Amino acid sequence: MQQAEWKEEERFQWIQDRFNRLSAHRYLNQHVSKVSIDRDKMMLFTNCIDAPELAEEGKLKRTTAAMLVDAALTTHQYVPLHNEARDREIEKQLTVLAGDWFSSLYYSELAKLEDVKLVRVFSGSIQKTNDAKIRLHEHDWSGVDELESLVTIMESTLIKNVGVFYNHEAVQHLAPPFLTYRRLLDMIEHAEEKENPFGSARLSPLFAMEPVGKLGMYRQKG
Amino acid sequence: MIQQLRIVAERVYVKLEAAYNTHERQLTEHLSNRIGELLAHNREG
Repeated sequence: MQQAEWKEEERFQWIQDRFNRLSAHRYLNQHVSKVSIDRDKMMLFTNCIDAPELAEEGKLKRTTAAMLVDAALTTHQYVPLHNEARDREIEKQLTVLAGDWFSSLYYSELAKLEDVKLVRVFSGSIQKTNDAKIRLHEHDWSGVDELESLVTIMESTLIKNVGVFYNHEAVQHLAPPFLTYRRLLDMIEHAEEKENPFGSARLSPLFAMEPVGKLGMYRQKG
Repeated sequence: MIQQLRIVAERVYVKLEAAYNTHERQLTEHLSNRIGELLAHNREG
């Protein structure tokens, strides 16, 4: 691979292809909604995983690993909370399994690259993200300052920490308000459409969402 | 609740705009366009 010849779109395609190849699983794909790559996040990761000491393939593989972490976190958000029917119970178990599957893939990718430092960045970020999700789910905040902080942590801890790791100042400062704002717009729009206090449902990260539309807003998974 | 979200969204928008104005030149074209588009869309809206 010759770095100079790679255009941004070619990088995206490479990452997309590798992500699809690694994450393909016949049985899980039959039973669990396929997680698509979040293009906004792919752009952010591609921007900041650009250290001059890394070869082009190393950058792309690390970016793919980051997208697998994001897929793991997203997939776990699809886990239904209250399922009484047996078929939904199976779906729930398989969705958890699919999230774990994505987690194992990112770890495997980074292990092959022997990048232990980045594994630490990812695992610490996952822990912090999940802690914020739990607090949001419990309505464990007081006032808008704390609410803003929790949504920001939930949405952007992973990319921000990767930005810090690679010393990419723009991503460190832009990703949190960008991803948080994107999420908030969706929450507000959805709450307005429902014409009721949306309660915890939309706020809950356990509510399924996927990026759609030219502005990359989110839509509830049907 | 929705009022809290609107307040937070307004605050985050201001932060996003400020960060974009400061760091826009360090971004790749796709990302810069994407964030610029989001800001412009919601400024108009």
